Amino acid sequence: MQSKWNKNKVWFCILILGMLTAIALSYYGMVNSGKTRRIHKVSVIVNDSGSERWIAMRQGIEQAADDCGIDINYATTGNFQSFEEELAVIRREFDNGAEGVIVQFTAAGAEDDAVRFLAGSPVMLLESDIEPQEVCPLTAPDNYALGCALAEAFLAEGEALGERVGVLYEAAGEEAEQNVPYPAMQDRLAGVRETLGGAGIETAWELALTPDVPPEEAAAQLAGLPADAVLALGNNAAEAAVDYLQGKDGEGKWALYGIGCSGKAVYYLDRGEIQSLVVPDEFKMGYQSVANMARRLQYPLSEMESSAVDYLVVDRDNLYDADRQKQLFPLVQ
Amino acid sequence: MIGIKNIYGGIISYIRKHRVHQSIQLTVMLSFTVVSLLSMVVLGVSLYNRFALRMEDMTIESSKQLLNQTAINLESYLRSMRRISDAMYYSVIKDKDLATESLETEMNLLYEANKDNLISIACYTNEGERVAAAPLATEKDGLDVVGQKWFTEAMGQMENLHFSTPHVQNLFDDNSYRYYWVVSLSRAVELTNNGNSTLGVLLVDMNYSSIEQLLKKANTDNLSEYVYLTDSNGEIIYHPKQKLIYANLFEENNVAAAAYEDGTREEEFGGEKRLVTVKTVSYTGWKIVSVVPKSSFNMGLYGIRMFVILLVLLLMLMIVLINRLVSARVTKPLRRLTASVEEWEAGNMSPDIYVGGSMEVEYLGKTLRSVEGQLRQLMHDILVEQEEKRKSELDALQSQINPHFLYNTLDSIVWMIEGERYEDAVFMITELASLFRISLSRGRTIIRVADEILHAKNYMNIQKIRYKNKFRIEFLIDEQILNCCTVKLVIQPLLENAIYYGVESMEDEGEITVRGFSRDGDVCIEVQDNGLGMTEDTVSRLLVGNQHVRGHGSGVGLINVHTRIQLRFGKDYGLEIESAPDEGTAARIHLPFIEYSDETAESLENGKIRQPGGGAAHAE
Repeated sequence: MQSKWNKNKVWFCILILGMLTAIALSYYGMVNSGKTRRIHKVSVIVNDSGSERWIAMRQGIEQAADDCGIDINYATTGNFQSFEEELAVIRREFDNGAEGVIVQFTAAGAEDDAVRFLAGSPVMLLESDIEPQEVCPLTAPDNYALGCALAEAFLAEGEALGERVGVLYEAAGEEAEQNVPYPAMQDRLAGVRETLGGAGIETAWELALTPDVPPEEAAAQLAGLPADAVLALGNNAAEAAVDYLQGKDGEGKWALYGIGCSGKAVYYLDRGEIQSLVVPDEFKMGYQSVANMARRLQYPLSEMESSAVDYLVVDRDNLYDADRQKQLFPLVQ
Repeated sequence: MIGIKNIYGGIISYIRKHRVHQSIQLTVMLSFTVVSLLSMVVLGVSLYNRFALRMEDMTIESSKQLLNQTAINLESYLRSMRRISDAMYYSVIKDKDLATESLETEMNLLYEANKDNLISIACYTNEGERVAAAPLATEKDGLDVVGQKWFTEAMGQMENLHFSTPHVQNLFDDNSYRYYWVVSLSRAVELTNNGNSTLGVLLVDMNYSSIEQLLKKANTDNLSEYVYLTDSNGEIIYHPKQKLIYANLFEENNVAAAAYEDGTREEEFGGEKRLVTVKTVSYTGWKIVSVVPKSSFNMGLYGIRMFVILLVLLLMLMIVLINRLVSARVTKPLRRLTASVEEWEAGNMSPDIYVGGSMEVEYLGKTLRSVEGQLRQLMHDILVEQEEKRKSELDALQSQINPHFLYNTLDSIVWMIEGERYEDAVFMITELASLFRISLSRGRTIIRVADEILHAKNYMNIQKIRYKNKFRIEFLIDEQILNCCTVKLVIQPLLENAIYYGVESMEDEGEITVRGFSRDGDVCIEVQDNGLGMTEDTVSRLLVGNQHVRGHGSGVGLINVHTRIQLRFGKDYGLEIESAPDEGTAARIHLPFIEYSDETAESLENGKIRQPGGGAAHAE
């Protein structure tokens, strides 16, 4: 009998303990019910942060930051000259309290210790991967497909123009001297070459445009490279090409096809200076990169996912189509 | 069916088998707690539900009010745009002959006055040629005005004002690379040119950001509840996640919502239940839609729910503790009583049985105490009885080695040997040996009647010689009782008394008769003498008094005999004495008829065969 009473006492104590625990939990829940979720800090590092080509992507980033409770800091940058320079900015952002970094690399090769650092940090790549690949998750369009689409846009009407096709791409620093394009450009270039090759066309020339080259020098370089059509593989390349074409007529003027999304590129498409524009969905790229980063920061044990974004092929005829203008033109300027 | 019955039966038998008998305190406590808990839970849930419903109603009411206010603001804005268009048309265009007059000045004034809300005002002929525009800007090359939707709608329904959905303005060349989202208000107008009336279109391009700002104010920080705007076909004009919808990252039920009647209804979209309130905006047919997901109620009510749960838990804790105290207090007397019974069970023969508490418990306690007392008394009586038995038998044995009897008998033997009466001496020694053998009986108390008779005969043979045949002795014993059980050393004391108090003092030869017979299922052994007898008073005092008082000579006394018989066989048996002065005395031994066997003898030795009232049972 005594043992039974002792057993009942033990069960009673367990019951009281359980109730006290439940009380503590419900009190905690009640107190924290009004609290907003923790805001995580994320830095965004892109080449030439002030460029208007990033407007659509910024809108996507800001929408995602609002939805996911992220505090975004845009690192003020110029044109990066090397991988190490960009890596230094990344390290600085982490040192300054960033919990995650979204970065567009303009150079490809990473050393082992850089790879280790990137692999162990919450870093999301934008626009293109680095070498070695798959070290960090990536939010980007299919750059090879962009190249193919650009070449196909040319081939749809451009064969009548002639077969001298020049390619403009973007590069930076030492790699520009060696004609090594930005990582994104490499895949696009491959797409262009293969698509043109499939139509029996070889590129007449391929020119690297670096951001620090003055427009006059770029124009001088382009003047020495005759072509019937030029495919610009990046927004800056497209804008540089458009600048070159201003005021030109006849022989000096070639048909321009480009990959880009800035207001300037769209303007010149509208004016007819650019025949076709392949526009990656940069709003979605910005949104997805932040959303995936937010998920990773909120659930530290989860893996950060890569995302692919679509693109549009736009020309003067369909520029103002209802669907296209929604993607092309930012709602708020 | 049989399977279900078997399962049900199995469950019931399992429950019965494993049902644990709980203490009364736990039962009381559980009952109180369960009832209180159920009541509180029911009350808590009812109050919470009531509160939740009220909150829901208030939220709906609030969103309706917000919607109404937003509609009013939007209508006010659209009305002001209409006024601009009306003012431009009725106050300017209608009064001007375009051949000689220009619309630019008034148009610019009107534009400047409203430039916060306008992108441009423009007027076109029915062939798409620009008449005037403010602000002045270069038109795009190759522009197709006539094909644009605002133009076709205006020309299509000339009596109406047409509001377009938001679109990018495609009219003017802006070398700052800027593009404007506008909502176009277009109408067909009559243009006068040289007195001739032609059709044209007046276009007022409203800055979309004005509408956007207006609706943004209606959207709180909590984006789980939001307001959006569609045209009458469901095409989105404003949505807080517009770009996400365009990028296919978010879905909205806008087309269905545009078809709803004004008012509130519940819908399920994307796996989520929500309340949708629709209000139609005047002039345009646009729909303002308010969406309140049901989950937002839960989020808002989460804190309340936690509070209710906290309150219920605190009350439960209090009730459990109070119930435990109350049940402990109520059941304390029972537990104390149980503890004292446990103490008794553990071997404490003098436990302090608790008496107290409620009437019933007190009664139980008193009864138990009484029972305990009776048991203790019974055990004491048994112990005393056993002790008496032991002492009586010890006395009886001790009497057999009374030195006087032995001395006198041995003296007689010596006298016989000296007188060369060897045969008599041998006889005496033989009788004495037999007497002592039966007296000892190997330590047993229960012997056959035949052995007891022999013992008596031995005794009388010795006494006859000593008393020189002063008396005659006759044994008349029924054979049927010879094999019955008797306590040893019961006849000899009677014979001793018959000799010493009966016939010794007689002048004539005394007669002692020993009869043994069965009567009414019992054994009777009677010793009768024709001696002096006793008065009734003396008889009455014979069997009372100190039983350890030695009798005269070798006897242990009648009391000893009587006590030993009763101790062994019970109060129904023993000694009866009848006597009258000068008429002799008859002393009757009354025993139960128990056939002698080793088992019955052992049982009687151990006191196992007893009758109710303390007597031995009749052994079959």
